[in-house]
Amino acid sequence: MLPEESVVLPEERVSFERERGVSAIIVSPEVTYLFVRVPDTSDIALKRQQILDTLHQANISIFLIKLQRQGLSFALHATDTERTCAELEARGYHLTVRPRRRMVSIFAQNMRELHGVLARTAEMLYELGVAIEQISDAHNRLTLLIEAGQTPEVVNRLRKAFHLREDAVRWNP
Amino acid sequence: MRIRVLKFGGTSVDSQEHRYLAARKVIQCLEAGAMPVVVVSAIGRRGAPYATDTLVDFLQSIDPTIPPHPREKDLMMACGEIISTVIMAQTLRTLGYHSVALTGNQAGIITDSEFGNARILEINPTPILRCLEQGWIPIVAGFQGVTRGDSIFHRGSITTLGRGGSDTTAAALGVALQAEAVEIYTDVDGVKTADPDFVPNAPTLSEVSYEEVAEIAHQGARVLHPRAAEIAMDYGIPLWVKSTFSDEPGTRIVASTDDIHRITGVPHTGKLAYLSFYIPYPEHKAQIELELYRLMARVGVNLQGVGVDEEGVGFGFPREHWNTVRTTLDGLVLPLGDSTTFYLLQFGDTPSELCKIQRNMLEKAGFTGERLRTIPITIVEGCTMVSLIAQGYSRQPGVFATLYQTLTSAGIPVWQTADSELSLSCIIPESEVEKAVRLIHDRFALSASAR
Repeated sequence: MLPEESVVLPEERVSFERERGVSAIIVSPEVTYLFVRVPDTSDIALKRQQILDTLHQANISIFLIKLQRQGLSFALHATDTERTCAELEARGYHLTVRPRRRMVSIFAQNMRELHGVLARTAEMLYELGVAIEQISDAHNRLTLLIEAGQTPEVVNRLRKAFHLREDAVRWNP
Repeated sequence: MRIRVLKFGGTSVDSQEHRYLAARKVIQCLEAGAMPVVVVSAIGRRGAPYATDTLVDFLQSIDPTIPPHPREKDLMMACGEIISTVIMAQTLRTLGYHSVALTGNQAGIITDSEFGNARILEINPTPILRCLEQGWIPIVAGFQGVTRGDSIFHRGSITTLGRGGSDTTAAALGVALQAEAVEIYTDVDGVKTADPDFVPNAPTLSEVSYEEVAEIAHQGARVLHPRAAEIAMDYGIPLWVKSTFSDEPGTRIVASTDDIHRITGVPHTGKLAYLSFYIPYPEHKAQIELELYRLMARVGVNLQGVGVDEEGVGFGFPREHWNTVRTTLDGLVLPLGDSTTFYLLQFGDTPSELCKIQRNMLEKAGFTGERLRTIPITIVEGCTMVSLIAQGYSRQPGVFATLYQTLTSAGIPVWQTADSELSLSCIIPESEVEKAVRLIHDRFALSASAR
């Protein structure tokens, strides 16, 4: 026995799953990128820990954290730059300070299943002569750190390359 | 009409005893005055006769060197769920309930024609509503749908939804049927703060946000597929993760939690490999990096944990691609600067035979000294990623310092890190993952703070 087919219901259709592929670009406020070098790379893990502890004690938040052969690099809010440099220089670290950077995040619901977003983006930036200073990836985004002044051109090119509407780009002041 | 969608995973339907427990949940739903719509996965896991992987293995055993056509592979894979619906419907029938097995097609699930990873385009809920109105319990095959393409072979072709497909089916049906809840039944009590195999006392979270559960799922925990969480989030459908085998309340997935600063869990991903390239040549570094990204995209390898420094770049990738990556990169020659300089990529400390041959050929052609440069690649073959899900905390001073200190003070090397608004991740040796998860779980007092 099976259910009767005679009951007539109106056809209802629901469309929902998110589109695949790149869906948005979000640009961060200006940040500072800092490269902290230790004078001697022996026992590097401990030395990186000391850098992190210094920042923790000074209540400075950092992000885009990357372990480097000679130390550590990270981004921080532009307003924290002076204080951070003072704290670290007082402890004898060598700093490379790159102010006026922005993080450009390219969003895709299934970024880890999409091939070639990084390659395509890197290609475009290479053609524009823009250096990618750092990269971070997550399940739904790819974040690039670039010079703030180059951001409008980069974002415009990315938007066109990924066929996004203008309202798919959000600038965080 | 109060409708609830109940989804049962493979381990919930893999024995008569388990199916009766699943049926009990369906009956409890009816007794609570709601109409159940059941979604089932294939029975059991690889090795079980009707598990999806077993069916695929059977198909590929005909000739492992010739891959099956994706359309036919989907036809084969969909059989596991169809068998499961019939078995579950019959189980309910023997208990005295009217029940009907429906394929994805019969349940009105329309997808695009990307075989193996199809996306649900729409659902016609009429067939299921018709069953419910007449007091029947529909048992829907998860993980599958049907195309509406125009070609004779694509029109009405069965498609599968890719990883986590049955969860996606359940969430999508929840939206289409305007269900009061979607309940994902599995073999654990809900979303845990860590893998219970590593932390046996890991508590179950009573509530997590859609964003958190999507992040947790992406970071490796296999409780709920993020696609399902995303659908539920976009349409505001209440979603639960519960155990088939207990009456514990489970975990409710909500739009947002009251606690905007909280640490939720310590998931870990699967097997990764990590490569670090030493490129102390600023004039060509960007171009070499670009070539690496291009090559990896060309062979279908997605990178994780990418890190750039002034003298190199590093990235991780799923270890299943190890042979592909090694074959692609080891001994690769990149002619740059109008072919005035050749870069030779070398895996590990000892050059492979291919590397030696390439070097000999280039040297014989007159490329020596500064015109032939080696890029050594440091390899970490056995690594994994452990993460801390830390809403509102991940960029707070000290959280990363504590995470790093927890690992390194226990002698666990951290090779690279990645961070986002919701998570902090470290690439570590796979052999240390259990210890790492336990240490982080303890350090952030997740046993105490879970509920």
